Amino acid sequence: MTATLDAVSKTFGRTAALHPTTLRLDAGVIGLLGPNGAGKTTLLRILSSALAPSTGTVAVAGHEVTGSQAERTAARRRIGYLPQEVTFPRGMTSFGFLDYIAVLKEWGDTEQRHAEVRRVLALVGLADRATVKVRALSGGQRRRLAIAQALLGDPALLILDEPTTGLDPEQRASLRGLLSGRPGTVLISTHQTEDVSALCDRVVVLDGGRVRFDGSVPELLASAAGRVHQGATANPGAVQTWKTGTGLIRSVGGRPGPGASAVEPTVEDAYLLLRSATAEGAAA
Amino acid sequence: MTTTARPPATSMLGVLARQEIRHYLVAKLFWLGAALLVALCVADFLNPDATNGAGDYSSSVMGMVAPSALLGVLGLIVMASLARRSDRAAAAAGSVAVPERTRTLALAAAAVVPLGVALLWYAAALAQYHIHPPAPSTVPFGPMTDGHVFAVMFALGVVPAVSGPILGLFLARWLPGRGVTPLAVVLVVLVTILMQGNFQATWHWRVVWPWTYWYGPIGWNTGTGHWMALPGSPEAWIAYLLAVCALGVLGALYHDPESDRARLRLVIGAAVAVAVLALVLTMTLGLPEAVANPIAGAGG
Repeated sequence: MTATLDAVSKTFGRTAALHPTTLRLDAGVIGLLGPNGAGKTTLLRILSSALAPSTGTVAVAGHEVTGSQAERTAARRRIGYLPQEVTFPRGMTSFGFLDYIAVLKEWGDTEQRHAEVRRVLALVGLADRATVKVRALSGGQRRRLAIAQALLGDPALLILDEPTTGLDPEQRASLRGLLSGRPGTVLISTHQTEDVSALCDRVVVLDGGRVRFDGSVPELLASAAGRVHQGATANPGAVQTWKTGTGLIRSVGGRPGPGASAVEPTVEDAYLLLRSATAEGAAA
Repeated sequence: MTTTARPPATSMLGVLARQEIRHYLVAKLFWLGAALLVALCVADFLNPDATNGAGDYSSSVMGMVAPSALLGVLGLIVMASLARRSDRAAAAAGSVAVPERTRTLALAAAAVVPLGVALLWYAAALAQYHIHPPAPSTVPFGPMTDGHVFAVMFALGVVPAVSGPILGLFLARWLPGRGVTPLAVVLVVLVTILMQGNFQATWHWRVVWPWTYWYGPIGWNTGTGHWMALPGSPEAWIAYLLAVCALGVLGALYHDPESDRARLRLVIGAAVAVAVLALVLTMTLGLPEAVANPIAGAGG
């Protein structure tokens, strides 16, 4: 077991960003889905120790993030975190940026540190951009550079907040390959449901600051089985409908119309149905 | 589980300080200031009596404004920029083992770069003082000693090379907005102009401000050809300035929400006490009143 959150909550003023949440994160790739404002980033920041929770305790690799300074530091040594938005320092090269962060991650020996920086640059495909100033990199390259800093030291817990933003399909596939092959725990917050279905062993859906689903991808898909249809007309009461490239209308949820046939749901379909159920529950 | 071997987490301050020193050393603004200072030093050596156009004094006793501006004021900007860069890098990583206070100390350590240049300037100024002694119409005179003059040269020429960058660090910690640095530079220069001792009413308490003249063709006496020496002890003032520098670093350290603030408050309290004591000693020791050099200079 790598990380645990026990009754962790966060309020900003009178707004509850995260209701008391208990999660246990074991080895593997875990996807965190949820709409904007669901509390995903708050949860990730708390887990990474960048933000203190209002209540509850967090532990990473047996070290309490919410404990003493020494415990928090010990936990931080095992965490790699990619924030949602990264503002890069001015005037640094890719190598210089990673080298500086490696020092902040306690890589004291210059030779080892430089070797580690070169390793992560190669991992994200930026080995040939090492001496280029960060401001001269493209958006996708900057995102990969930000991912590279999280990979420094091969942390036991890798927390990635929307890592694929700005990456082209090839780069996304490359990132999947990189993450799927690594040991330890990877927690990815994303809006890209195809990344979840392609990569994750487990999915946690967060909405309104609460965990709405926590299970495997097949379990999430099973929750939508028989509830997604294609036909000539849209399902009455469907959560979402759209005309596909075949000319048929795909309906997520609702009552199947005449001639509509059930199709295999995707993670996105299941997510939309889950969101719809949550919204209906909240309205009720 | 960590699969890549990580070296033991000891003494990261030294490693980080070396990084920040390197960053300071490659800052363009630092090089601009250092190059201009070297050029001024060389010019003074070649033509030591030309500084005020009157040909009546050695530039070594009045040239402190150059290092204070070129290393101190520019150092404020350089350090604020380095601090912001460090903060951005730390924020980009989101969560790192090295805390903000270690980064702050490492940045403060980078002030050795301008300090080193300022000490070289000081050595050159002392050499200049001996090779081309100041004219009798300047300083020292009357109760003043060479040590008094050397202390003033050190306080006004060397200490700003540290206090400027530390002010930049302090401001970057507490007021990280980008417009703050240029505004601070303008304010520092404006207040320094007002506090440099031109007004007789400020002569006793002007030493509160960390840059003020101690002698020269000052205030109402300007134009008479007689130099003035203002009251106070420059030796005690150096202690005051160093205490203010320490307070700047402590204040910057206090910004770290994870620091031991209760302990820091005690240390800050002690540093304030030392600063106040040194300030009182500055005002009470040394020259009790302003005195004028009886020898009129060529400029009068």
